Amino acid sequence: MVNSNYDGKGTYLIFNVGDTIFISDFNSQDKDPIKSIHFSNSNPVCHAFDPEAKDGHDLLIGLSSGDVYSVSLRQQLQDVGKKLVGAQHYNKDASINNSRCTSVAWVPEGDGSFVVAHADGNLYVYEKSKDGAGDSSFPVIKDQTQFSVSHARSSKSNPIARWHIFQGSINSIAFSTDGTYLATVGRDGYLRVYDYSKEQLICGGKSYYGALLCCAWSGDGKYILTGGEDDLVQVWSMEDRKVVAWGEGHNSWVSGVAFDPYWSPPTSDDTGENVMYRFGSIGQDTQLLLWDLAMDEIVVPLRRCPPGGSPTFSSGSQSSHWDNSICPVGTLQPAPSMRDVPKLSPLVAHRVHADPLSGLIFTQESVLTACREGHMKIWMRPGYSENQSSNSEALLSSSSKEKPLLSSKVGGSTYKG
Amino acid sequence: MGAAGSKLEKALGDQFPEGERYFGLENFGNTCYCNSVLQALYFCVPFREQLLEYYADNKNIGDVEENLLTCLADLFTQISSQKKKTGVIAPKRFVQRLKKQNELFRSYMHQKEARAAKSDPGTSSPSEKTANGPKNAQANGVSKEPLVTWVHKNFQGILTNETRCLRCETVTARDETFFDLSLDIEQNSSITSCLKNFSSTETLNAEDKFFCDKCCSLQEAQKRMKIKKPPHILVIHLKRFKYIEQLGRYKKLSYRVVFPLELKLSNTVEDADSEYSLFAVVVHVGSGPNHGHYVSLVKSHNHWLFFDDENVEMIDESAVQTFFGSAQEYSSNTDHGYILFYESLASSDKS
Ligand SMILES: [Zn+2]
Repeated sequence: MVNSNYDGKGTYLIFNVGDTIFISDFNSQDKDPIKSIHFSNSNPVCHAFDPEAKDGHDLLIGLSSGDVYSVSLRQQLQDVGKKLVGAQHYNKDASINNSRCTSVAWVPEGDGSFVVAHADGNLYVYEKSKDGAGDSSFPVIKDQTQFSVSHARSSKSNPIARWHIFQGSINSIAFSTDGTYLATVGRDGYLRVYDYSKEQLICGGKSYYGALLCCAWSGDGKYILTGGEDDLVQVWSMEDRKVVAWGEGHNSWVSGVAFDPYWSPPTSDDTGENVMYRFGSIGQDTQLLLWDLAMDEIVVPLRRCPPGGSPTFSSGSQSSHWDNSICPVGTLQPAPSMRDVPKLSPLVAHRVHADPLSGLIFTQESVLTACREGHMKIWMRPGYSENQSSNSEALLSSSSKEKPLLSSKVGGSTYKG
Repeated sequence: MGAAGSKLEKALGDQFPEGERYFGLENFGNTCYCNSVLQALYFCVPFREQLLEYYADNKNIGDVEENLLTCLADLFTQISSQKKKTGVIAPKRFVQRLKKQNELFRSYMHQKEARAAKSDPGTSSPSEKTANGPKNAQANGVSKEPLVTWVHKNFQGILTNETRCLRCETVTARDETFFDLSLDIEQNSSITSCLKNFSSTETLNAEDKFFCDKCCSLQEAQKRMKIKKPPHILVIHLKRFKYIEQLGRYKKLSYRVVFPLELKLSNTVEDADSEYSLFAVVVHVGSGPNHGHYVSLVKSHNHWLFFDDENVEMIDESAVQTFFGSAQEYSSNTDHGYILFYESLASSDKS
């Protein structure tokens, strides 16, 4: 089974449950894991695959201990053992940071550089071509509340830089497709968007309340989705530098968001004005929600007032920034007021698992969902057939015991040999 | 116990907050619920400070009759004036007074939910949705005390119950005070969602029509509960103990209900968007309603502490999520958040 198609064109599913990473062949009938990699001292909690990697390592794995590995996916598939092979180890023995890894990402067009976010509010930039040795000390953070970037003093150091985002857990990070911007979300409820190469804060804002747990970019880099503990799916506009819509429909925290990169509007508008997006969200309420976002719906902020309320906006109130022009670059917006943000309703809402959801991926033909217990389901797109009769469900992996602190995340990878 | 105390001091090290005391409470047999609530109330800092101030002002005046609140003030003073930073205290006087005065406190959850379960779901009075906690019972017992005013200032909110007659469209609004909100819970939901359901519109029809004063007859109507004045301390009680008619007894719902560390109320009359921060959780441990144990989680000076009768430990903020409940019915995890204490982040000088 291992030799299925690793040196042709293959698509693999990579997911972590408990102390193990599983890899399945997406094109196989049963989708049973063809490879499992066991970690003895700590749990893998996040991973990232770089389909553009021309050589060397393409898979990153972050652990709850703070350790990070880079490996070659192909090399893992060729090996029959249950251990990582040919891995490079970073932050070994928590020498640089002893807090949990929360998110890892390859820098697009980044020549093998990648970013690792931690639960203490720091993220580190590494280069896969570099040895992990060398002196990697960074100066003490003077003000924990301020954003700061430090570059390693030694040219041999890997990591090469430390970004201190804030004091608290960074829960998720995402690069825009072209690698220009890096978005972070975290415990303090703020979305922050940085110009990655300039190492500068561009914009950002606070959730309605509570931590933000996930974020994702639209393919064109114009919008960012976030989800979190206020049960809302938030649409952030890069052009307006503010929240332009809140999606209401989850009955619990939103744990995953993603734009559908394969979806195109049923009828294309001649003017080209009415650009539309399709996106999805998953929650701890076990629901998968699909949403449509039409530009004309959100360009002009709707002032929906509660029945009986009057639409008066005194200047100086929190809502006044809606009337004014865009806020200056490099500033963070406070939480908007409930009445000020246009609301979206989901197109489709479906309870897809018995357990809280942890992963969402769009592929050309289907939508993949994963839950915390390591079950995965593959759904036909609405439109391919009627959406309720839709499931070419495939259950993957045997379930493990309930471990509320674990998240099982899934990563899809189109692997071209 | 002394060793546990020193362990906590060691864990906090030089971060031990100046002037703060972390004391476990001795269990006198079935008083773990009382102990857990007491810890939550002690770490409700504005309330504690008012009680301490009251006690300091009145300790020499002999004419104050003993009641639950004076006993509470006495206990809080006893804790806060300890020389040691950690240890164990026996809340003897308070518990005696409580047993004497207030059966309601002892079994308050059972009584309350029995009332809810037995009444016809249609003819339910609004008071069923709002549960009056121990503090209200105390307040009824002791009138005209300044202490009672402080209880009100901290914990009292106002609900408005709007009923719209579907024939004449007249809206009847009736206000009532509350000291905590009792919420029905669902599997894999959030407190936000439970609050939304609490304020969702209900249609009164068939057997359950509304008597409209204007129409002078029973009419179909729509009813909705909103928060008119949010309390400074918001106490949320999760209805985890449900009377199951077929079984003829209570069953514990172990549902996973997530509660955020920050919360806003959107079911208010005005769009206040007032923000709250979680500072204590009373946790029920056990699989059934009749046996089990209570512990509490408390946030003090940005540290989370775990109180289990005599024992006090430090826990990580991220451990709070292990008390959300179980996503599946049969689970080894039986520690479930039961009462949540949120403090308003807005300045407290409103009321
Ligand atoms: Zn009428």
